Amino acid sequence: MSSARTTLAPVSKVKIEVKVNGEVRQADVDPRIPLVQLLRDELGLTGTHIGCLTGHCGACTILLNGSAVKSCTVLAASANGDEIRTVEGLADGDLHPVQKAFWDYQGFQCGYCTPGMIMTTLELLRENPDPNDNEIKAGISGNLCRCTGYQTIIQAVRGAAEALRRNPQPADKS
Amino acid sequence: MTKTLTYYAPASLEEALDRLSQLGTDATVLAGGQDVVPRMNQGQLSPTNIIDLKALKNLVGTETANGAIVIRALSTHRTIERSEAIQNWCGLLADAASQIGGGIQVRNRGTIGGAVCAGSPAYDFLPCLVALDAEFRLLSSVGERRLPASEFFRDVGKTALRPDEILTEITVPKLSPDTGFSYQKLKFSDGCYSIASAACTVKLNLNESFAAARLALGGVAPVPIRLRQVEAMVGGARVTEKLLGEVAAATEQAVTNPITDVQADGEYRRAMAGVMAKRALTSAFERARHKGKGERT
Repeated sequence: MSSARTTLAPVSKVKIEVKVNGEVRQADVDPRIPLVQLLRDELGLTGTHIGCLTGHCGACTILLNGSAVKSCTVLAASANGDEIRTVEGLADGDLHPVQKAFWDYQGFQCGYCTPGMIMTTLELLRENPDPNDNEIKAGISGNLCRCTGYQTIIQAVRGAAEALRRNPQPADKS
Repeated sequence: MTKTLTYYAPASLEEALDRLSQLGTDATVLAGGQDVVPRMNQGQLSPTNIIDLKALKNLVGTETANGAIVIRALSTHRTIERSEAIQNWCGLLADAASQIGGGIQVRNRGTIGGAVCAGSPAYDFLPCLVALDAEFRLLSSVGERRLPASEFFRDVGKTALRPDEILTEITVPKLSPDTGFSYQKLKFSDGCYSIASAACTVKLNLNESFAAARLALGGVAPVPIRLRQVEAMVGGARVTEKLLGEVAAATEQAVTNPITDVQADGEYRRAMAGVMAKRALTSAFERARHKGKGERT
């Protein structure tokens, strides 16, 4: 991508305003860049990872207006006026229960896929607070992990579900 | 001369159509972005103008009209998967939507209109819409065209949509409550594109022979294939091993130009097309039979 970037045509930039983790942020964006690039390069939120830029791996998953999406498949310009939550918006002094479960069950090895896994898990558990293993597998089918073989991730999601059922989070943290 | 890339987010359909008629082939229309944005990221697509339909909320949702369900083009896969009207009246589409790969993230963002206009043979809605005799409404600043799904897809990534047109809605005739349907797809894993898929609807006679069947293949050839010969062949017949063998053979024969790619070669796809057609027909039959029993008791 870096070599292609030098030959790109000139652009008229687009002024956008987004709410990221509760904070209003403004930016002038190149209309070609995906949202993940805005988050990481312009807004400094590097918790959202870039794995493939093709919509396959899910490492860049965020919540856009409350729904899990892969932020490499959304143009930054398209997010104008939208509300975004990234992994940085979860911990509130203490880890969020889903983060805590990934920690407790060691639902990661290298950690590259973890932010995406966690953001997808948030939507999965909001829709289905008590998923069985098959539902968990289907729920995270858009997130690839090259280390764990998924077993500890499935345990972590199950653990997170239990924790959230015991201790439901307020709407803006669930 | 290098052109300047410009991004437009029109506030109304009229504005979008005017802009499109001005820019013509120089414009890329953006819906959910699940096809367009990854291709931009990879340098396969370098638009000079982007027309983002994001603001056109009146292109979202479904309505029931005259024995049909009208699905507006910007309805997401997730909406289609969960819409009660679609589950009740064209459940085949809800089934196919729930099987779209790439995870909930893709289903949350991707739209049926985007998938149709991208025209990728692997997209699950394509064979379903062809089997369901869906009709596409194409609008431009000079007027409206309506095209049946069977005439819309022309080649890999190529459709009958003109550069000045936007697909605004898809009309799907309702399935009667006793209709059985099934979408069967062969893939390596949940996240993969289909190697071969088959969409099927059937109606049964009282003696459980086929009164009518519709079958279409996806993923095997550049465009979906409607299996008219197979449909005619099963009319009046009962499900037997012999019939299913004939269905598979006739299906394979209908696949004259299978795709070869990194997932599978053409001969394998052709063979699997037969298997998917058999599975879809059998499973649609079981569903219709089950519904029939439910009604009789």
